[in-house]
Amino acid sequence: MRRRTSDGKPRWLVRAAQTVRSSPRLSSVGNRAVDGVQGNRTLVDVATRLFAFAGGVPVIFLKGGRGVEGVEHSERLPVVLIDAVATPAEAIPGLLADVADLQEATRGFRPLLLLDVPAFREARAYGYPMELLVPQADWAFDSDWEDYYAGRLAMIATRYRTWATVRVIDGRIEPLGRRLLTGLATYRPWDAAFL
Amino acid sequence: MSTPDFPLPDTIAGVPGDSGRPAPRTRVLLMSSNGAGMGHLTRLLAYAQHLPPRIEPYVLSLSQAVPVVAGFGYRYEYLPSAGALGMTSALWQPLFAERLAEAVGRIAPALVVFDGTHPYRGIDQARAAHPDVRWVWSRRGMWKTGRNSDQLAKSAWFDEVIEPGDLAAEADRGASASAPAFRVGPVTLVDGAELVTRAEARAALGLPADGRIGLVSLGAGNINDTTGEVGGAAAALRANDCAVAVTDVAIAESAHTADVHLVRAYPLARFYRAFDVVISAAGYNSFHELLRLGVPALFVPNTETSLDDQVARATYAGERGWARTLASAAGPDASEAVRLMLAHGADMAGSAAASDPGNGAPAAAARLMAVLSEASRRPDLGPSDAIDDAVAGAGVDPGEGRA
Repeated sequence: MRRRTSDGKPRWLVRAAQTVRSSPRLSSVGNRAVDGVQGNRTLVDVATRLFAFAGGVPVIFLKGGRGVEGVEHSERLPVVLIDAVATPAEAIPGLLADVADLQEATRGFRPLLLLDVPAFREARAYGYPMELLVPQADWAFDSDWEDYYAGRLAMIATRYRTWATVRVIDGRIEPLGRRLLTGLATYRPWDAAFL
Repeated sequence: MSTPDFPLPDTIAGVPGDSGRPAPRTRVLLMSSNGAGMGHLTRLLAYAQHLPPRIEPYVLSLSQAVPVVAGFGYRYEYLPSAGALGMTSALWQPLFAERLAEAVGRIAPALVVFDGTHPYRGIDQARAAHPDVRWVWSRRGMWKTGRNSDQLAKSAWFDEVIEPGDLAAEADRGASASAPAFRVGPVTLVDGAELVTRAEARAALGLPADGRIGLVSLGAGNINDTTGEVGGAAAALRANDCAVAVTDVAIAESAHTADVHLVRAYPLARFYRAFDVVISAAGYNSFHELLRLGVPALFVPNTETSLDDQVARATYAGERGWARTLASAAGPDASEAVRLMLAHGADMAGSAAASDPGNGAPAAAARLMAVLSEASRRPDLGPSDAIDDAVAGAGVDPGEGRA
């Protein structure tokens, strides 16, 4: 008997989860337990210190890119959304080189790219994860493209636990965002001790 | 998306109806997982090519190779995989589920076809959120013995399971081999009639018009190191007076000799006549394209795959005399195997073609239409006129292939 499932999870854990999910009584007990923990400020504080945040920066396992290779506990580095929607394809290489320069100079953030051109090869060269949006010009659905764009931003904030968003305007990082990224060379709350 | 640099065919804008306005087309969402290579996307494209014109294929893929579908006139979206993001499964699954449910709600397909061997949790949630959509699992076989059997229970998430056939199916000892499925012939994107001539193929790929050329398609590797697979294959070709072609940019750029040619085309199979022999891994796509198209092939199965039993597939081909199979291209037998394939490979490949039941893509596409047709007859699934129109004339035979 193999100890892990085909997707690498410990088999005992999967079985336990299946047992809980398939039992209304156990699910109910589990939900009550979670509700109890969530309502307890002390327990939530301890759990937060241990698992969720490093000095106020959400902790998440996400590729950080070449510029932070070798950084210990890079999962603590803030994830910054680089919102480059409407940036033309020819401006992408220069933009990514700029982001990479800032990252190497600070070693203080992990970029997540939001593009509407499929610049996969360019993003891979830097080791950056990316999300791809349907371009506004190609929109052919009943809903508004702006709502779709806003929905994706909300999803990204939730699922990638982004710490900040930096806009790209006319193919360049907007000035305030550049200052924010540059400041991460010295503003490093995640370096603080956990407890 | 923005990648197509060619005009989209009229069918994308819709088929003109009586009023002169484009008639709405029924969307089929083709969803591929992120396996190694292009297999999942290529299989879905093969299905799409045989769908009737009133169907609009729309691709949602976890593969960063997805822009290739724009070359076929299909729209696409990208959903990053856990591997591409470096995320843990527990963090990625809610992301996947949220994105999939949003995409299905917005794209509003009548049918979703998932091609992969591991249906992700979240498909069940999307299905529950959109109960009027039909779901089909395209699940190739030849799983390694004892692997992935827990995934078979997810067949319950789907209205139908289609298994693209395998020429080596007799050697399939995996868990899916005996599982219920609608089985069709081996599925390839390219058929023999689409092959261009040797001269045209070489010109299109930028290869010399004369002389022997062998293609090495073994994934990443160091072409200068003859003790490795890629370098060993190149050495075996050179020993038989063959120039070397590769599809990997990094391999071509690192070559120390001038006889290494980079070839870039999709689907490359259309240009297979450019090559005198192909040294390839034995993944589903390469294996069936090479054998169905009669290309002299030397298979070196990739033993590192998590699920695909390439050894069983390649060994079967060798036993049937369709091709030569080697455990390693860096071994002492490689040069002799290349010599054999240059001398007799065409006849061997011809015997494989004689065992070919034909491309399974049309039957798979017909089955997809049958699933739609069956859905249109169910009163609980809402308005069906558009689906009926789309299915009409598709030559549906709902029963063929059931096993």
